[in-house]
Amino acid sequence: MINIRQISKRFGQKKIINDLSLQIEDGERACIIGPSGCGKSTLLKLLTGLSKVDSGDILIGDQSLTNLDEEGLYKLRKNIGFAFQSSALFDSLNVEKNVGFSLCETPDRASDSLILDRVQEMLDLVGMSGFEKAMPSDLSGGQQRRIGLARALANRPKIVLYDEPTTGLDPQLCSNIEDLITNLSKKLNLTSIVISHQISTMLRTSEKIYFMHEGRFLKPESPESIRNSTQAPLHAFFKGVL
Amino acid sequence: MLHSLGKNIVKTIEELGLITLLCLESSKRLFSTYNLGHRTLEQFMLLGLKSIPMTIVTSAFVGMAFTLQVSKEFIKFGAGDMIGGIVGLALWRELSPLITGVVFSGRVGAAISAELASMKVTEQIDALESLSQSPIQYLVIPRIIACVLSLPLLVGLADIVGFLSGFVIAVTKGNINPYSYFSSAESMLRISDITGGLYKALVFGLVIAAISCYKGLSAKGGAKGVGLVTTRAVVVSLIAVFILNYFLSELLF
Repeated sequence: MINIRQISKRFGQKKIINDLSLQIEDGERACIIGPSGCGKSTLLKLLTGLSKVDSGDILIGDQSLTNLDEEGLYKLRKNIGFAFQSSALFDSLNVEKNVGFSLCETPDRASDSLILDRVQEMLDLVGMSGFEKAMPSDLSGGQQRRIGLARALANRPKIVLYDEPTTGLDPQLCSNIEDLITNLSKKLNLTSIVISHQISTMLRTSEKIYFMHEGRFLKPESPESIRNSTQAPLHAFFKGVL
Repeated sequence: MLHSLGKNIVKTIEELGLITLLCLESSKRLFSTYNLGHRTLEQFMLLGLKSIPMTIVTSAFVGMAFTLQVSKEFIKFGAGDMIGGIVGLALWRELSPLITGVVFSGRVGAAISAELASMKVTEQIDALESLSQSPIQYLVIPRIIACVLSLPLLVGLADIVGFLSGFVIAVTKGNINPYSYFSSAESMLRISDITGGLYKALVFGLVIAAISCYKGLSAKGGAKGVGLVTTRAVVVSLIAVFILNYFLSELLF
């Protein structure tokens, strides 16, 4: 379970996240939406400890992130996969090494054959078999997103965070990635948190939708109820005026 | 004006502190770094070995130009027999470490800061951390060790190339007796002249790598940010090399 307790985060004079609380159950598929700059991506970085909260606490299971030192954070992150908006593939490594990175670069390194098997399994999952030796620069945006996803899943995490997984992709690719996120979450029983601007992504990848407004969350909606929501900021968001 | 000067001084002191902290953090984590040998060797090949051609060309021409000037003047005063010693002293104590340090700042410092900066702005550093890897252990330490090891080797090479190219000019242009070139070097030079230059190189290697890594990791924005920190890394490294060179000369010789 992910338990966010009254966290706040400020950048300079601007308070991006203000006394925000949220609870996400194990295996839940959540989507966080909100206007640009409302702090969605910041929240994902706070969840992985890439950024620190100014106040409040985040618990992953029963582990508090605020009390963890760097070593503890690294241990915790082994259970969290992060698919970045820009894919963030290591451009000096090929696809195989990118996907197998978390298994190779560790003191308790797995055997070469196990790493290769896992890489192959992940590439099969995201439909990218045959691209093992390709460099990230040889891949299209959609292919890079898939490899980013495979890399995030290679360590068999329990939680996967997706930062704008479909932004900038054409409708066909969007739909492919959305299916992939939903199917993987179900198949591997993952807790997934998707951050997105895209209405189709929000509706197709999640069970619960959390709208972030002025640093806090509104009451969560389901994909079925969100269109008819009576909450004013959601209305404004869908009309494109927020 | 005074306000902006003060701000710049404070910023410089702050950066110096942060670069020192990066070095301390790197040394603290040195022995707990996994797979260090492999990564260091990779960087050594990339940063050190690939700098050899540039080092040979620059040190050869510096040695030749210096010998050309010195031999003209020394022959005028009838001191042609001292040229080998003078060239050796100048090259080994000052010119080789300084010129190689400058070339290294330009080539290696720029390469390190541009690579790390581009990783930073494309979220690759965040990705590294999200995959439970410390950027200091994975990126900074191998680069610092590779620079600290390769710059003294490059300076050693520059010492030899510069001295021998000086020999060619002294003999062909200055009509100096080949034997006297080497014998004057033998009588005037001590082993500490060579080791002093190598110590300088060691310090320059550390400083260039630390500044370049720090600048690269502090990049913000897109391509413009990468360009900006790369330029700053080279400029700051060059200034640091010149300043340190003076104080190390006072200390070592």
